[in-house]
Amino acid sequence: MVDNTNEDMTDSGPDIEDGPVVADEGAGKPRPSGGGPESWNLDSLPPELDYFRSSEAYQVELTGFQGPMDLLLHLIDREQVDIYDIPIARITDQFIRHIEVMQTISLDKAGEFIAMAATLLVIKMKMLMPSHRDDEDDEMEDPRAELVRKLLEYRRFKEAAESLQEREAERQAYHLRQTRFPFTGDLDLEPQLRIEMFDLLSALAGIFDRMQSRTVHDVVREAYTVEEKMSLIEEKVGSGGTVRFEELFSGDTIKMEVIVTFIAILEMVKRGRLQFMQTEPRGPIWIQHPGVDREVGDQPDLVELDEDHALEGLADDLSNELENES
Amino acid sequence: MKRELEALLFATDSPLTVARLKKIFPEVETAELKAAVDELTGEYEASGHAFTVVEFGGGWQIATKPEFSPIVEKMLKTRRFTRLSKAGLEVLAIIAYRQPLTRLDIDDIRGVNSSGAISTLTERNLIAVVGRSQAVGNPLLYGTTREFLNHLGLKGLGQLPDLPEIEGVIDDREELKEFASKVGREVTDEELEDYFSAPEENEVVLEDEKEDEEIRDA
Repeated sequence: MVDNTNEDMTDSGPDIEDGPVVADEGAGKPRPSGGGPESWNLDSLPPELDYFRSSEAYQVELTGFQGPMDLLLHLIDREQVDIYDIPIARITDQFIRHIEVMQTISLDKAGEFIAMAATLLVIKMKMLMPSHRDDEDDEMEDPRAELVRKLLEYRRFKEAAESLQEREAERQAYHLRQTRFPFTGDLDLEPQLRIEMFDLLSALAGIFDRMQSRTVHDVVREAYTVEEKMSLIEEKVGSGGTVRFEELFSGDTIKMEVIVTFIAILEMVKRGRLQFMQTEPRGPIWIQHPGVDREVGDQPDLVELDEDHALEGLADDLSNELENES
Repeated sequence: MKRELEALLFATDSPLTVARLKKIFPEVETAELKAAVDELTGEYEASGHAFTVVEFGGGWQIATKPEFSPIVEKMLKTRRFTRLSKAGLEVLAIIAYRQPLTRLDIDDIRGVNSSGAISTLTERNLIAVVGRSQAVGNPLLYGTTREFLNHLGLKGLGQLPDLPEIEGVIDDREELKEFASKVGREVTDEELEDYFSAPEENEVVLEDEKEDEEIRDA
């Protein structure tokens, strides 16, 4: 991981004597000189906190952490300390310093970092306490053990994620035949033709047929909303593209999702955000943004869906069909 | 049959599974299909064709060879294949190796809330809900999908790279024991065996994969 040295942080070094070491310096916030009654002089620091006298202590990386574990691993790596024997006071202080900086940039995950800071402080406290030796058992679990286990476990997956990323990159070099990206070439669509509701329904039936049954377990599925699907369709059609009707259903896995997508398409056509195209009667149905390559108002190919009851009737038919099947 | 298969592998827009091919060639044995695919791959290789047959997500499809990727991308202009974010990859890795598991299990490993990444991965069909846990509240269990295999170019979950061992240092049983006692915990031999055994017992088999297997078995 690259250590992005923040110049401001380094520059704030000379101010250190004015404030509590574990507090605001890392945040780069200028502190009113004098400080509160709790402020202490750097010279009074115990020798094990020597670290904070070095300017290196102010080199912080602000972004790119996936979470508190990630930050903690980074600190451990950077300090080159033994993960099985973490100098908990030093790492805790640095950790807190980092999250203070993060708070100043209003990182929305600050809460999770603060929870980890609390954990670290508890461990630090336990380490300082004279060990309460159990009468029956000589050994007491190291207060750090649980944290270390979690860190090691997390690191495995962090590394696994990196190797998946490599696989992903290798896979990316293979190009499969694709039909999914919006068609942008000349399609020679015949705008005179008028799409019958029947065509739409048989296209939909085709989608149901092709849909492979994926649901194995009796699983409560996510609710699909027409609004969500509409924005997804917007994305798929893109600006100025033309896509096959079937393409808009490509990610749909269950019947209900197909139906929601279908209704979303109808809704968008109704609102004039999409239009249907066809090259021949009973031919494949294409979908594009209205006004692509043609004058506004010159859209005789739009299916007439203004009648609300037609839409409702269609939806009723579909839900009846669904009920019958299940 | 080989040429017909070639036509299908060329024309399909998603990897063709044995199950689907068996429906098209009911009289052909699985072994014959595999042999035909191998033959085709061999032919393309021998004659220096720009494409090859890939096996992604348990299905075959014709793909251009990696060395032609730059020119193909130039033609496509837009990159259809979007890479996953770091968070997405982390969550995906955890699910891939530990499935089936709940969102809480994932959060616990990562130390952060993963619901955003989970919904993105679900929307991209890389993971799916595969059941419900017996735990309180019956939380949803997640697993990877066929599309996940396709996305990473894997034939099956068995092809996942091995999960890194905890520390290079600790691939040794004795050292693990030593570490455990250092932190005040005794490790039994059974635990050691569990720890070192391959993480494959939790494989989730999706319906269509089952179908493939049934057909293979039949």
